[in-house]
Amino acid sequence: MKAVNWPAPGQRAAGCSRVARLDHLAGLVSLALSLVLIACAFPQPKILGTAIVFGASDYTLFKDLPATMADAIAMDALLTEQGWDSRLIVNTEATAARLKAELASLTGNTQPVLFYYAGHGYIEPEETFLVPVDASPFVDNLRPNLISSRDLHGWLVEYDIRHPILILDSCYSGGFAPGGVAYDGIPADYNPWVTPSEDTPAFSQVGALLAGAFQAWLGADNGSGAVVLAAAGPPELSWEENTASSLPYAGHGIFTWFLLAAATDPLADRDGDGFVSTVEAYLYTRTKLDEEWNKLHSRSSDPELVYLPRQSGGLRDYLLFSQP
Amino acid sequence: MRGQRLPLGLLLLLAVLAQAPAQGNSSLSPATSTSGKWFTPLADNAGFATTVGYQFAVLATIEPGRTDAAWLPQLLHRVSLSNRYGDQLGLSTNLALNSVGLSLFSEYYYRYRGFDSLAGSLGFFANIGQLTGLPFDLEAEISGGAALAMYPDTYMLFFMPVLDAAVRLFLRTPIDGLVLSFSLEAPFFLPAHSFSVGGGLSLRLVYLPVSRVRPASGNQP
Repeated sequence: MKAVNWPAPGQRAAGCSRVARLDHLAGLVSLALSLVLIACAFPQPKILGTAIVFGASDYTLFKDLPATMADAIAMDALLTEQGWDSRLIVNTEATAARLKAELASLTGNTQPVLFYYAGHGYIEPEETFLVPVDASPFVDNLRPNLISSRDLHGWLVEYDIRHPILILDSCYSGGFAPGGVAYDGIPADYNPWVTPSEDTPAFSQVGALLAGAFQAWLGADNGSGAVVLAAAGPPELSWEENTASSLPYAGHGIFTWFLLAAATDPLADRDGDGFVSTVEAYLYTRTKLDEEWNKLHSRSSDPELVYLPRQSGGLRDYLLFSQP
Repeated sequence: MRGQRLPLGLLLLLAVLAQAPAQGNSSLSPATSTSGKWFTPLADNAGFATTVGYQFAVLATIEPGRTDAAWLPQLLHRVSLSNRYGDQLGLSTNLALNSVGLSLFSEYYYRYRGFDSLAGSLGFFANIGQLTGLPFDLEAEISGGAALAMYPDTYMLFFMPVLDAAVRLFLRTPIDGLVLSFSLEAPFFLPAHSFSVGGGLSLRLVYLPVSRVRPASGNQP
């Protein structure tokens, strides 16, 4: 580091150029301080909000999912540590009625409300569902106790949840992540090893992208305005790793495992501001899941093993985690 | 997914190529410059010019239809390529690459996502300086068009109309046929469910392929 020769008294009157340079330096410092003060006038990010953490593992009529309990407990612990008011609801409590009651209790809440769900998903041609533990097989299309995308977004509107964040680790959960203003260029069924997308002429792809983007602008439905992170695309399955596995994510949902890791991995904080936002969490989980899980199963004979997280297309980007 | 990068690259290439035919006019007679006053560079009947420019602006963005929506600032960087047809009054075709950064955070712990976009627009300009007899060229321009945007690092595309308003001055350079312009600009972005408006400065290099530089005395060359 170079030593600074401060001017002696009276030197300024002699017109020393070094003094002039110091004046410039002082001006720059003042400008920088002014910018810092302006920046400080805006609210500083602080993690605070209510989280409802659902883990549906012991099903009455569907196959049990052993990892979802561990996922929910780990997510609840992380969110609590991060400063969220987290409510852990698992097993027999994880019902549609309980979720509706929890959301109703937050009516008019002005803080972010995060709903995390780990459990089964279900899909029909026109609708996607979460499957709580008390869900029954369909009877006369009444869908008892299932939570449809329309139901969930409708409750958020009905209860005036102004800052909703949905994080869903379930099969077909991309059906809860509407593009809104944006058109997602990732095919709904992401599988580069099976889908012959590269055989499609480039001009055709360009046309589809342009048309999709324009249609999104024309018909964009803001819905509940929720920011959604979904583990898989609308027709894709989401996977968990067997507890007996030697892989690092053994006993967890793959998506949730990487989401939990985003809270501490510096790579997740892409802009280096010390916080991980929903966009950053999405990019991190998408990258990690593709690099590790999809790569591992790229030569599998079962194309349903390959999947990618999805995100809703709205403008907002909420803070999720503060990194150490 | 990897295959999705190609269409955007093609879009950019096509957009640049679309600007190319107009540049062919540069085969006309070479430009003539004169020494003298800095702020009187453009002649009458300038006819055609092509410009490249850089713009920096601060945007204010809001989602008007939402409760607790906040105006949040975002920074815009723009590189543009324009062809201009006309003299005191004229039209311009503009192509711009925009990069809008993340906003600051609101008190509700959200910010607005940044985006990159490729925009094409058609503009109308009037040289108020020449029309009103001012001793220098002062130009006003409004333009409108559309942009295809993408959130960074995603494959999420969206469409939006764009508008721009600008007031600019021209400054002679020592190089024949080259003029600098400085603008105050107001960009507007109109994606679905949100709205951005801003103010900024731009610097453009204007190339006048034929004899277009007015002598300092005000006589025609």
